[in-house]
Amino acid sequence: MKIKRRMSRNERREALEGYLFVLPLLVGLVGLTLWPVIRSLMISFCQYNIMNPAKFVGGRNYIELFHDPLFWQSLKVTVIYSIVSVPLGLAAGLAVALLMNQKVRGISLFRTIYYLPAVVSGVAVSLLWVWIFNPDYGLANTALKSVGIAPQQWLSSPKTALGSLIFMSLWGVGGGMVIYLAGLQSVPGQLYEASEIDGANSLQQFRHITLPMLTPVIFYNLVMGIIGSFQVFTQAFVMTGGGPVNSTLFYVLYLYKQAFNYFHMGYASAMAWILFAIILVLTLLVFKSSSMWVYYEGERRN
Amino acid sequence: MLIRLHKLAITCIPLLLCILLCSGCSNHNQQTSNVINLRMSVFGAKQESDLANALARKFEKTHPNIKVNVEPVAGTGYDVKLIMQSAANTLPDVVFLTDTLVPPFIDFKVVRNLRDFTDKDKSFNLDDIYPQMRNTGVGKDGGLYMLPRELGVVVLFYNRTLFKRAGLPDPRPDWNYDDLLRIAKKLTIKDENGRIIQYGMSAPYAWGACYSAWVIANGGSVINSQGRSTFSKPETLRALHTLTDLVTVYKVSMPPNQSLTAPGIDPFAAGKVAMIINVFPQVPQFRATMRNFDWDVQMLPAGRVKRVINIGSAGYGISSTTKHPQESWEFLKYIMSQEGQRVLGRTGSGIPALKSLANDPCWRKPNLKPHNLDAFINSVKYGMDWQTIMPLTKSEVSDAVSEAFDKVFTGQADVETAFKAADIKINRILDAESKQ
Repeated sequence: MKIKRRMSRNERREALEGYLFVLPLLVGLVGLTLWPVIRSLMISFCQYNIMNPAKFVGGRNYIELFHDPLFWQSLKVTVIYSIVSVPLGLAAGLAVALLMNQKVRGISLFRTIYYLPAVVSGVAVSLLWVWIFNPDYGLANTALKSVGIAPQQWLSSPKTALGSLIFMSLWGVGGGMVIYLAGLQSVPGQLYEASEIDGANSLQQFRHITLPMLTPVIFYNLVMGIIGSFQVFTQAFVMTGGGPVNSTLFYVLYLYKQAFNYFHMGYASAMAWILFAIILVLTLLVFKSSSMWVYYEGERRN
Repeated sequence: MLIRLHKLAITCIPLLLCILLCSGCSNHNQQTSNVINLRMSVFGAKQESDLANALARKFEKTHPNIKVNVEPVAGTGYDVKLIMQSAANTLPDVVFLTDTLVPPFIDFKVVRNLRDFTDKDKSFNLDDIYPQMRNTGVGKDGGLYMLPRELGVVVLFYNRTLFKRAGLPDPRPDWNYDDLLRIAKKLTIKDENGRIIQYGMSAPYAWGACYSAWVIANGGSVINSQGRSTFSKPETLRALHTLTDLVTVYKVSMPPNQSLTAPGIDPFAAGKVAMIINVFPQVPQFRATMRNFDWDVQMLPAGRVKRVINIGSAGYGISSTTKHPQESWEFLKYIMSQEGQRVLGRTGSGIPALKSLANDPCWRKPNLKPHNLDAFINSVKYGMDWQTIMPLTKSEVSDAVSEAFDKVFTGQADVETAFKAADIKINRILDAESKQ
């Protein structure tokens, strides 16, 4: 027999209060996130310049995209950037984290210093690096000169501009470093002690203890790195404007140009959905592959 | 007591949050009795908002029933902001705009036609504005959408100290392209390693106000009477060579990706470049930073075929949705009156657009550089027809032109390849626009 229980006065009150509290968040989520997402999907099938009413054009925006050389150029730039900068950032972050995990006097000061760049605003960092890359007065060429290497054009040449931005991405390793550091500190000390008794050297310890124990953190940093690198915008917008000759025309920068310089909102929305699909597929692939290389504590391998 | 407070908080906090969320939408429009509040948007530079505030305060003195609130738009997205405001129906009443913003601001219904006012209001004398400048505010439909506040002409700024060091006399008003090249060669200096440490000149090559007049002066054209690009014509390509060769062949003009100075320091002001192509609003900056150099201005040299000089202007319009068109017009009229124009002239950042103020001391300051101010006034008669290059000011088109120049200057393509590709691209953009 089922007993239908009515909510007591107090319970109802509590529920109401609960909803009242989450109301501002819900309004924001639905009105400022969910609705724009749905709208952008709708607009991606329309011709729309924000003034005239949107005109339905079917899949024309998507078809035009595939014939647009700049779309492929922006995709190429972004993919190259991701392929190089994500592994580079992962490795550099881990390397710095290992250094910052040493028991040295004043280590927390060093940790702060290495983490600091990661919290500085992207625009400020970009302006700083414009100085560093200045061919005549920049730090980069001064450093090269002191070791006898010819000065480079950095951002001024289509050959080196993208490479310069990849190099600059190392500036943000502090963010990944902090997460690695947290991972490193949770590796149980007895594993190292046991391996020491077995005669393992530090390289073997790193290869067979540290690295496997860190795989969940590496996994997390990899996923976030991929998502972040496909959305690079600020550096190119502030420093190069996509040039010279579209050599740093990142995907999101081109999307921005289509939307807010040319007012092709439908085209830009279509680009946004293709980007979403790319990131989704890549993230799913990484998740699928995780069973092969990510080790979780308490998990048994057969 | 404590429990009660807790209950009160539970009901009040969400309510307060909601009120806070909504209150952002409705706080302008508090009008006291008969005072009308006008909103005026200006470009975010301090120079701009200072000028607008000076004009507003003076205007309010004679119009006590009108108050003008200046809204500076920070950053580079001025046009985007105004277009978004137009879509959201939150436009201000009076709008600052420039010649290149006239077409998009018409398309996106930011500004309204001013002919109703200029035709009816007999107290306003449109004929006192230089006709070439007036033309910059005219739309495709013949309507007037911007009252140009200043006489904008492109001139040559030169560093007389560097000229004297090289034993060169000042450029004469009747000089031409060959003189420019000859002088620029003498003013380009290399160090013992063959590295250039001083350039003879530099120009904003890909800027519409630079290349378009240059191409026409040297026998080419950029757009035909049907509004199609003519960048691939042999005579245009030859004319483009006269500009790009200064950089790539003669190496006397500074490439756009070089500076010879630290970021943020103007190479001309630092004496690293002897001649530049620029406009009057740069004058206050050079007055402030070029204390160690003597400098002046001269008319642009004639091209291989004729002398054509690019002109342009900035000014003000009235928004398409204003509820106070008459009051906005009164303010615009004040800005364009001799009194309002003198306010602009005194700031040193613009030459008044009124012919009657051509010799007015408000902007002619004999104690300050540059001395050859007639160069600006005399350039007007060589001004090219603004309307003919209007289609090229579309940002998609100007991006295509910049890309072509970039390719040439970075050695990725020669002039012919780069601009033939740009020609196809530009015509495709213009076709797509006309189909809409």
